[in-house]
Amino acid sequence: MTGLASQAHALIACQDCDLIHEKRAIPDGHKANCARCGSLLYCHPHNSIQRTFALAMACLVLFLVANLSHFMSFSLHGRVQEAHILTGVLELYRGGLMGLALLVFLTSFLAPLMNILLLLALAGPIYFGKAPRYLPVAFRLYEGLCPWAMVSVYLLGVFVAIVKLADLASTPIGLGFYALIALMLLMTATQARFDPESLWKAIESRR
Amino acid sequence: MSSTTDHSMTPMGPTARSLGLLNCHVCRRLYPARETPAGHHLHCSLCKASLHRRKSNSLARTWALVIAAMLLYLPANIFPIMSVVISGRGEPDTILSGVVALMNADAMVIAILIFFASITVPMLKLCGLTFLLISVQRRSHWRPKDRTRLYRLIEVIGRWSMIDMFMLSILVALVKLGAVATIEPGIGATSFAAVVVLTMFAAESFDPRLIWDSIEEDR
Repeated sequence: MTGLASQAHALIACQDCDLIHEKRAIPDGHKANCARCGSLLYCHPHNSIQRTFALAMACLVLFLVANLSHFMSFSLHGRVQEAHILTGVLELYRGGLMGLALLVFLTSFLAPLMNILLLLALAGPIYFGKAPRYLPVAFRLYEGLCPWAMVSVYLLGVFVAIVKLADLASTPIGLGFYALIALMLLMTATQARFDPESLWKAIESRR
Repeated sequence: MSSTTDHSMTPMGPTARSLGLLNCHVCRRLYPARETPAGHHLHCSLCKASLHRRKSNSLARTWALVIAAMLLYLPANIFPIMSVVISGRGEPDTILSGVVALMNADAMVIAILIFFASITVPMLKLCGLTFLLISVQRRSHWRPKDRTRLYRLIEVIGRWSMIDMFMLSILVALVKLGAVATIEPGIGATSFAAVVVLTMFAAESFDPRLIWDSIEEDR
């Protein structure tokens, strides 16, 4: 077994059950799963870095549209109120629910925005053949924020709000709603494209 | 991304721990474990993350977070998450009464969705994590693969409990039309949000490799 341990660079351990596997070349677009517990070991999406960069750019545009235009409005007796993601946060804060306001701000605004910017900061330099020193820190921040970026859950919240208010007043949806749907789909696609291994390979090759 | 490559290595082969290797949890590089002075850790030479054999104090941390979440689960369900007041009349809604209201409004699909997200998911997370913690502490050998799957499921579904909180933030932003209609967020909402956050941290601090450790040690 000491022979195996000395070739640590050619091995990979499953993150969920610790089983050691030999790394193998797999075709683009395939993935390797743990033989014992089935969790993902590694994958090689097609053109990971180029596509991550391009998709993240598109996400950024959609994020701006989704936040600058209202996603639904509410009119009752001639008075109209428009809803943005951030107005919800503000009203929770005014209603005295500091903690909840912070959580909604983090999960629906800050974490998605940071994730898009971090993906650009990670994929951008590698695409142009550079490996700046901040890459590992940026990746860890990205990974830490991933569970907290909840655009898809927020979108379902919008659906429920529409149904809840349906018999109270009319609730026409706005441009922001479509931007949110597109953002959700694109962010999922972007994160699936991003292969962290290309990041580490770029850093290794620069040393 | 559809097809998978199977590793033909025997499923009960060596683990990083049995080979004396430390697995970097960030960049997945392996390093030989070395003795370090107390309070110091080895660091990954590639990404600078500190290296641990297992997540530190995994069981104690996860227990603490799960118990805290269980305690807050009660006020989250007993106290109203919001009160909708229309033309001076209205009543507070708890999570469960909100689901019932949706059922009565013939919004069955949405009612099932909210029931799943706000009631089933937190219960599944709390019960599932408790089950995993107890099974690890009892050094259970029972279906480790399925328990690992349960852990991954708990990790993935946790976020969906936030639907109700997002809906609440949208309602308070939309319905601030003074005398005609108001929506007041309630104390239950804060408790519920705390349950979501605590269970997410609990899932993150649990180390699924502990499920497999006792099986290998007992062989």
